[in-house]
Amino acid sequence: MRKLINYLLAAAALGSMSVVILILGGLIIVIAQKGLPAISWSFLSSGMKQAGASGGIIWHLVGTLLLITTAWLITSPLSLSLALLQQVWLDKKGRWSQALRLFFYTCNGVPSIVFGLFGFMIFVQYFNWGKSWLVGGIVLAMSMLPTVTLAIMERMEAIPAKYLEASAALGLSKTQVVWSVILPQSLTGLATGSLLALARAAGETAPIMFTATIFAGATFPDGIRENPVLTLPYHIFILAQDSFDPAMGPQLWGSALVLIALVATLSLLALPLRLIMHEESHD
Amino acid sequence: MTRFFSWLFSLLALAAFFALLLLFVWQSLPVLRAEGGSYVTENRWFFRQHQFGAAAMIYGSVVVSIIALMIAVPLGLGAAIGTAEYLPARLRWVAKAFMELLAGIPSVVYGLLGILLLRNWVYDGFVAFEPLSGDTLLTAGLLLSIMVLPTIVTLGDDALRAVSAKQRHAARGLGLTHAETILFITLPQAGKGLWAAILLGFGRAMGETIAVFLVVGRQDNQLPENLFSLSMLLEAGQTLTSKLGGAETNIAYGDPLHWAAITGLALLLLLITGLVTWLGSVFRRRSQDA
Amino acid sequence: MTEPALDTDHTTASMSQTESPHIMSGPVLRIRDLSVYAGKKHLLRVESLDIPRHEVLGIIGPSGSGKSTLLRVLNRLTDLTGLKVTGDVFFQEKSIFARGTDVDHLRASIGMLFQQPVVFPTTIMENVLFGAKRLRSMSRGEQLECVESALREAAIWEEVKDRLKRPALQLSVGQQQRLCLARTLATQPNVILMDEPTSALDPRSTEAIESLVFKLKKRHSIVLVTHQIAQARRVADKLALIDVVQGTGELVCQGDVDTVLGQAGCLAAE
Repeated sequence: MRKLINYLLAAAALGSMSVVILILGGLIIVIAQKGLPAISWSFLSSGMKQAGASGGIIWHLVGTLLLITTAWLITSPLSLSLALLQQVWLDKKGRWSQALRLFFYTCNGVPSIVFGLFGFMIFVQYFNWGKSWLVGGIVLAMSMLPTVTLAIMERMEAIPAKYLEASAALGLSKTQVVWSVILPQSLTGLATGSLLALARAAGETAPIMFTATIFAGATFPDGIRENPVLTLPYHIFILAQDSFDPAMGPQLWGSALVLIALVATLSLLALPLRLIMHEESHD
Repeated sequence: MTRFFSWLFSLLALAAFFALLLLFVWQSLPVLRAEGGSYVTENRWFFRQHQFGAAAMIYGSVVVSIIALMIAVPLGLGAAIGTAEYLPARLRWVAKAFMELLAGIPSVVYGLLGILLLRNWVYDGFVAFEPLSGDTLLTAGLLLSIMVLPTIVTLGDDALRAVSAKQRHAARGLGLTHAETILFITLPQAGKGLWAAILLGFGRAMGETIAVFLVVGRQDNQLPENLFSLSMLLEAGQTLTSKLGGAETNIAYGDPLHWAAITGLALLLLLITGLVTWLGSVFRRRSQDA
Repeated sequence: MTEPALDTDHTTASMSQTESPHIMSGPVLRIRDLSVYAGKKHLLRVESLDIPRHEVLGIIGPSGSGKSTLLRVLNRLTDLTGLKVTGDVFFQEKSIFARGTDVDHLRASIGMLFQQPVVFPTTIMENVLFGAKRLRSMSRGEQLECVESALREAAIWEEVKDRLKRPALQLSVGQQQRLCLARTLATQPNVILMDEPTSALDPRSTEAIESLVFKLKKRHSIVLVTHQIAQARRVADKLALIDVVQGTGELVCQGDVDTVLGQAGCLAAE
């Protein structure tokens, strides 16, 4: 009887695991199957034609990359500052420090559309910028901030105490320790957190729908106000709603495949970094 | 100097987040004044007549998330037991990496798959019940369950691995089988972390916008007489997020009351997901500290 | 050497402990050509060691020499940590590594006490029954008898008899260790492996455990790993010395306490 339960549990667990892997793996295969036919050099390098029924997605790629780059430039200094605040300037174990951390864990769960609406109210309407790539960058930065901040915090936490003690014993001030020990060691945390957050941000549609992107008619922005961009996720979103038109098929799947490739590349880039961090923290 | 700028940037970032919360509260005031409690309890959303009762959307969000959890939790926790207890270290790492990669698939792509595959399966599968189309609350729930799986598996795996090896070895040393050790030592002691996985999965499901928008049907005022009746699941519905992602948000801005109603929905969403995520994070922290 | 294995104190209907006469004499465990590897690293080698019946075999040696690893081979806990084992160990004339061995049953027959008391987060009573109740179904009454008998054998009954339903974590460290002992005894093992069982305890609890060992060897065979030579002298009937030889733990000396520790013994010869 005991043996039976032993076998059953193993079967159930490994069975569930296989089902999960099959479902998720199957999704990738479907997308690849449908999307690969559409991929060609002209698809990747030329602009959209016929309202998406043909042509390429170059400007969509450019738009997406512009948005996530802007977002990263905004997030990085803010995240580093917040992590330093939590680890160095405040008492690491103190109530404020822990509260700050919990605050960001909670923010991570806020749906990104909320950030989009915030950006819409403040920048698009109140500041009268209209739809703009910069608003998109700001909104994505807000949604990325918790992830990147937490990644850096965790990396800083993992810095072996012996380095900090040794530096302090040599007479370095807190600021000097920050620049000579903490920041250099945290760079992998920044890189990893950034890559993962950027991967997520690249695929976001909701926050940029009202703030930064349109379906057709934009190329590269030439200012801030009234300067939306084309983006991959929004493109897919709009085309998906008209998906009864068979001509859309390859365009749609091709765009989806490119977007996934972008997201996957960013995530995969983070892997070796995480391996390094894993090794380092097991000194 | 470093200290000064650290504080400056930090406060700037924190101010932005708090400003967000305050802004939503402030902007929603008109509708809260106009409707009071019936904003969340009444099922009548007719924006042209300035009637705003969001009960159907709250119901929609909750129902869709519960369907997602009902599938994702057993399947996900089972898979987590598989990765945590039965896979050798190398394979475990590969499985986790794979799962994370999949967690990164954008919602719009899931939505696409929902439209092109799931929608038809639901329609065909339930044709006996004469659904109007494949865009239903059930479809959204099923799609969400897949989206939430990676979260549950990863967090579940973490929770199970956090149980100390000493406890597990002591149990095996007494002669307990692997299964008995999992059932009587590992699972009970992983409790908090497993709850964290469920809560955070729920939060993720509640907050998902685009995928749900594409397959839920977007029909207002769909609230069954009996909250537990299953027939509503095969009808089109509306969730907080699908409304926010829709056309109404674009046209509402000019009308203060209408706009207040919209931001009110966002505020509700913010409060619910905030609460659930906060709880889940607290549990997760406690499970790691143990 | 041989003693009848009568369960004079047991009031429970016990799992059959009767050993057929032909194996009542002779060592309870025999280790032959044993080697343990962690990946490429050769951790331990024991060419030949017999664990005598109803005696205390002390295993001594410097820390890191593989004494704990040796214990964990005997109840195959090494399976759980991916260590590779070559050679053989015979328990009651059968190899413990043979195909078809019921490893869970083996572990119930060869119990283990760890250095840090590992108490389960449940009541005292549930702790004691944890292993035993999987071996046979017991009525409520039988359960209480089993618990009392085990706790008495571990010399802790008087201290906890009024709080069997209380959380075990409330006990002091010394009491927890005796509780772990009771838990192991409840499965009625032939052999009890003890991995430095007193190094985390205060002197009084240490003394209590040591006097328990004297009593326990009447009905069980004990293998005790210790890094305290004085404890080995006090408690052990035979000794085995494991030392590090060219990076690998090796059994370098075994025999009577005097043979190993005495004036003309192994240690003196170094």
